[in-house]
Amino acid sequence: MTSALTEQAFGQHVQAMYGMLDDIGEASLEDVGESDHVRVISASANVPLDAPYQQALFEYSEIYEHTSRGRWELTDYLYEFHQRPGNGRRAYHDHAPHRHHAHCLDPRHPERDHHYRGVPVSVFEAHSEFLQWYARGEDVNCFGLFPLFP
Amino acid sequence: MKLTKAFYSPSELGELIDLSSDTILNYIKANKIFAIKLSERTYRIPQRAAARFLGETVPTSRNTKRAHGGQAAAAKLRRRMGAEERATVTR
Repeated sequence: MTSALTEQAFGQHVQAMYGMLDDIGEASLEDVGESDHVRVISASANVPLDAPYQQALFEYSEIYEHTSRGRWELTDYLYEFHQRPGNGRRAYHDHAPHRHHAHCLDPRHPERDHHYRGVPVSVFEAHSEFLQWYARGEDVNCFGLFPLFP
Repeated sequence: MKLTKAFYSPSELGELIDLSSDTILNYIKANKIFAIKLSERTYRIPQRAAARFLGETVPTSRNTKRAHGGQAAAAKLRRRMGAEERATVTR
């Protein structure tokens, strides 16, 4: 997991996020708030897929707060993977009110609630899992996840 | 060379440039080609990585930075995350 980052470590983290998305597609990364108390990193890439899907979307956003020790502490995140067309989705979130949780939407069962229990993950761990869904080209499924609202 | 597939196996990429799949695997293991490992000897090379290896031009990614606006960007992101939670609770 990412702990509070020094300015240098933060820069390396951002470059690593950019690089891992640039490996697979035309990526876009925005770093907003370097001089503020709150800083947001938003990165995404749309990448082509073979049939039955046409595209996959990787979207990663993180919110940091500047600590009294001059470091950047991760407070919220959103790591998303989508298959398109269709609504296959895997995601890991950390935000109020549930803090760490997962989202999953199996396109064969869109009626099911998409909230699942989750554990803290880093953007690199989430990306590693999403790459497997992306490269296998199969429908996302929610096997192994436990509902957040049983 | 027009790359039409989303992914290439090492043998498929090798065929395009007359190299063996073992040679492509060696390039992957040496981090000269980006590939996604599915199992011990099964790799998928995304179209973009294949194009780069073949020396083709790929669309440039964007990496931008703004010194200010962090608070507003965070509020917008939190609104989005909160909206999804509210939609679920009121279903």
